[in-house]
Amino acid sequence: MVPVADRFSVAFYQRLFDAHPALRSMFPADLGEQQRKLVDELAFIVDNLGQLPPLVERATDLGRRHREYGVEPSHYEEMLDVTMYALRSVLGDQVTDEVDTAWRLAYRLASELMMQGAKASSPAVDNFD
Amino acid sequence: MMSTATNKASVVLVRAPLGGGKSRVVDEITSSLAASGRAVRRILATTATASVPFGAVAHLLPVGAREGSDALALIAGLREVLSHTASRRPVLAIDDVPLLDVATAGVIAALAASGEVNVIASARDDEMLPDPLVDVLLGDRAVTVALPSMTDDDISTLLHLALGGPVDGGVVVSLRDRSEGNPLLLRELTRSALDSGALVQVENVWRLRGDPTGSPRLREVVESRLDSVAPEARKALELLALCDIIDLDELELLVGLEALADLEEKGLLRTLNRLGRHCATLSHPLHGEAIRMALPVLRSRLLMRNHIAWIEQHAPTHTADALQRAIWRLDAGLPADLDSLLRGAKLAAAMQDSRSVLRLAEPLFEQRPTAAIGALVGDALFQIGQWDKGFAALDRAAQLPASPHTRVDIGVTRATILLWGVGDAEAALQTIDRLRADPEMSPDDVVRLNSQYASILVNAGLPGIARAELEAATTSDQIHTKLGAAVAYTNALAMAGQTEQAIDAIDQAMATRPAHAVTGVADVDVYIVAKSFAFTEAGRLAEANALSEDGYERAVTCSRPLTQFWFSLSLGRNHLLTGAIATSLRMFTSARALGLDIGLRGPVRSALTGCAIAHALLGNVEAAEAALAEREEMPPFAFMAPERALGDGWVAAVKGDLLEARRVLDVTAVEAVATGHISDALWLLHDVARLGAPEAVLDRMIALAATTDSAFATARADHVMAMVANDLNGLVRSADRFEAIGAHLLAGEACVAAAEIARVAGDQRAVASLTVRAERHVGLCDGVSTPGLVASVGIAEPLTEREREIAFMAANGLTTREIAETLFVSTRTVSNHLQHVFDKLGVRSRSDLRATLDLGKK
Repeated sequence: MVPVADRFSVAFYQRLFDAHPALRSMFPADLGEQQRKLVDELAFIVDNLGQLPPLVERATDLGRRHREYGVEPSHYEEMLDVTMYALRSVLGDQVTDEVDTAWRLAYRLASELMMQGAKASSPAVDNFD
Repeated sequence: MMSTATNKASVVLVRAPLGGGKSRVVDEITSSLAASGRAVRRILATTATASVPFGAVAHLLPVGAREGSDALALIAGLREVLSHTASRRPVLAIDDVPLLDVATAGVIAALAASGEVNVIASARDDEMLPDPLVDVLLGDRAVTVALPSMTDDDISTLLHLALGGPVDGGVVVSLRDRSEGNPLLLRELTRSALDSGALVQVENVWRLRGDPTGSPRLREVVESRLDSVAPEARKALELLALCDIIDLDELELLVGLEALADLEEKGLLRTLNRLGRHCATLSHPLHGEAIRMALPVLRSRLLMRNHIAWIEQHAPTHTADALQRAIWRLDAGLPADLDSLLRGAKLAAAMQDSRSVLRLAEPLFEQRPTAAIGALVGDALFQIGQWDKGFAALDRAAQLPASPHTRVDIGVTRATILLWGVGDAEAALQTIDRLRADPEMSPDDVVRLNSQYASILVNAGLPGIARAELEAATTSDQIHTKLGAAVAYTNALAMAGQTEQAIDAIDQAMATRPAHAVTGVADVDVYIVAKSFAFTEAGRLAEANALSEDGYERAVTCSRPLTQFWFSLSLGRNHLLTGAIATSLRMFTSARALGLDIGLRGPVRSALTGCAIAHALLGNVEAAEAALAEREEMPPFAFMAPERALGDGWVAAVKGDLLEARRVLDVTAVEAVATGHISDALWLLHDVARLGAPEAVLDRMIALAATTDSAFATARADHVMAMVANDLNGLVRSADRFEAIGAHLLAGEACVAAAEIARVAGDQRAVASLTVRAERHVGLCDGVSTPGLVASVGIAEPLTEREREIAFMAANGLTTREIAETLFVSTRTVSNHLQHVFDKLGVRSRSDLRATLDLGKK
């Protein structure tokens, strides 16, 4: 994955801003830093698919921060499309059905955890039961 | 979904099939709301609390609340507890709302309707919502969210997270197929596979070892999981299935801490905090259902008796108040505290929960029969339609010593059953009269009795003499008397032609009601039927229909046959007046079936009369006669009796005996006036005129119409006046008035009569335009035929299809050439046709033609 990492993240952001131009202003003018972070996160997810706890910790934290940037649960679905598009544009027909499924499930797992982290952390005000 | 739901609606109903995850969704919504600062109150409805008055909220009430005798104070207290708030409206979250007890449902419905709370509720797809809450949960300000099944990806992700590691594809496929996306089933299957060792983690990946056996049906999966629990530990689950929430101390005593820990580990039991004590509950209601089904009766008795013993020794009173304990004891076959049962029954009666009243008061009546309890039982039996048993209970009660107030209760219930169940208005009146003569009655009792008497009078066909009493009752400060008289008063006023007063009276009552009633949308419907009636009598047919159609819809949606019956009758009657006779017949036929079904045989007389009239107007003589014959098999029913002569009149008319028809109507009209049915009298007399003898009735109609404020009544009288005077303009005005009211049959008849006069006067133009107009009105009347619609010879020869076409084109400004080109014929053909049109319609030019046809379209 490493050699194509840069190409992937470039394709990713290009696709993202094509589809949602309004988002461009949420990111810094120089995307370099951002692109490296993206790749790091994806690598982390792949490495930790087998052990949940580190993934949980990192993803929920990431999710909470994304909430602060104004990311809504509905955005995660859109991001999946962007991710898969970027992946295909860079890996071409190496992305078989199996690979597609694997990435999709990995993404869903991570985003599910992120959304959990995004839920406000204060305890429910519940006087009853 | 959440933001949509809470921004635009004030009530959310989450529906899903059993195990679809609705409780979880409600949890998520409420957590999110709570996190954003809203006050959230959770109310859990369970089978154990479903049939206990205020069972679902007992733990929220102050100690001893259900032991007082003041239902209103309790309700007020509960409202306060549920709705008080610092800033924004609180949110009530009710899981499993179909299990909510009637009393609590009533209070919540009132709070939601007045906008004091938001509601989020969950319900299984196949369960019915509690009656008092149907309007709130399905109304305009509510949104229903139907949960979809889980997708394949959802299932994979969920399994990975739940099991803590990646899951082999085969596992996903197997569990996915067998659960079909149902979250609970997925969970149960997964746990089952874990328990049996079929699902194991191999080198960090979860795999299935061997074939997962067993049924994929949810209940069976649950049952087999429960079967695997040791019998000793099972006792804990059984007790929980019976009582929902049990103190941990008690459970520990019963089965030991280890067993409890094991159950918790298996996900069959979870703990919670209730009123400061550690308690346990089953993890899913479905487990409770499965256990209860398998629980033998004697075993459950034994468990309950042990439970009661423990409670009475160890638990503080507020854990389970006197009412709850009494009910438990009753169910366990132990002697119960009768005072608690009585208080509970009265509470249930206040909330109109008849089934709970019977559950609590019937055993009470057996063991300690008193007149007051008998009155409660008798009324509850009446409410659920068991009239014979109701009478029996009242008879027994009447033999016991009773206070005057109780004797009034007994008498009023007996009179009600006599009136509506048996159809014997005389006996009902006598019952009340005997009580009125009783010297021990207090002034308040007397007011109440007079009001009842007067209401019965209206239903007994004597609205005239009832009015003064009813007016007095509506100014009483006893709310129940005041509201109870309102409907009868409105009806009496409408029947007397005092329609504005009638509408005022019912509006006032409807405005007063909400502050005092807590349950029962059915109550409101009784008022709406009366209001619709008043509108009709006032000549506001469109508004009357709107009310009745809404009410009919509501009654069908909420399964309320009684109100559906009354709204059907109302619509049937209205459409006799609008002239939509086929619709009218349909409504009357439906009312007949319903009425017979629910045992309202007396009122079915009205439905059958309506059928007879409609059939007669449509020319189905046999069907009309059959309806009248069947009517005579029904018990007597005097409410608005004079109107029923219309059936006899029109059937005679359609058989050709106009003389007899008029006689029947005229004679009945005289009775109608004598008893205060002024608007009926006008209808009857009007029909005498329509059936050929306007001179015979004109004077009376003028005099009667002058005593009413109804536009309809006046229109009828003026119509007859114009008929007698052969006044063409008067008839046209009548047609206009009837059209404005929406009474198209009458408008059509007025046009035909006017056309006749025009024909005799040689005014061809008027003849043509009036005929066109008459056709338009009659076209809305489903092919009915009345004498008034049949004019004698001389109607202009009708246009042929082609002539009609050309006439309209010409009237709309097309030249002969343009018409010819459009129709692909020669201009000569068009000219010929146009000339024929001119001749037939008696006009000389295109502008005349235009004027004639426009006149008809007015």
